[in-house]
Amino acid sequence: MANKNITYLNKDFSSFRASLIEYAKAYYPTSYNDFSTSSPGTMFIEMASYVRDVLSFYLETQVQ
Amino acid sequence: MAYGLKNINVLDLRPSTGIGVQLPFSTAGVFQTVYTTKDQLKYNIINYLLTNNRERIFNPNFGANIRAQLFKQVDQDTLDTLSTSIKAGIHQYFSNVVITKFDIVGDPQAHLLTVNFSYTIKNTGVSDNIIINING
Repeated sequence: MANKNITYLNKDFSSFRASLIEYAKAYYPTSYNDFSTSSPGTMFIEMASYVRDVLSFYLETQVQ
Repeated sequence: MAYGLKNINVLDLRPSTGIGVQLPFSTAGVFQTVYTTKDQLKYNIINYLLTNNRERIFNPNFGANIRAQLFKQVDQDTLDTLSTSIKAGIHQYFSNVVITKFDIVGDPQAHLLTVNFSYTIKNTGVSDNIIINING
C-alpha cells in the first residue's frame, strides 16, 4: 500500500474537504474529475468532511 | 467561409475517463460513473434543482429551493418569483449554461411543480433538455 502523508493538524471542514479532493485527484484520476460545487460527488465529499469535523471536535473535547 | 470553432473539454477526448457520478443512485452498485461532461452537467443541474436552501453544509444558499414552495399558494406571482430565482441560481452556479427555454408549471391540487427547460453550453454547440416533476 502506498505511503500516504497523513497530517494531524487539519481538523476543520475546509481542510478535510481540500484533503479529500486532493486524495481523489491523486489516487482516482480516471474515475472522478468533477469537483465543482454542484456535483453529487462533491456533495458526498462535503458530507464526509462535516462528519470528520464533528468527530474531531468531540475527540479534542475528550482529550482536554 | 468563416465558421465558429467549437470547444471540446479535454476530458471528453478520453472516453474511458470518468467525470462524476450519475443521479439517481439507484443502480446495483449505487454509484454509476458518467463519462461525458455534457451528461455530468445535466446531473449537476438536476442536483441543484432538487436541493433546498440550507441543505448543503457550509453552503446554505445552494439549491433551487423548489420543494419549499410546494405547500405555498401557487399562483402566477409565486411561479414568476421561483422562475427568476432558479434562473439566477443557474447563472451563478453554471456560468457556461445559457437557458434557451424555461417553463415552470404548478398544480396546487396535486402539490406538483413541473420544471421544464432547455439549455445550451457556451462555445460548444451542445444543447440539452431537463424535465423535473417535484411533488409533495
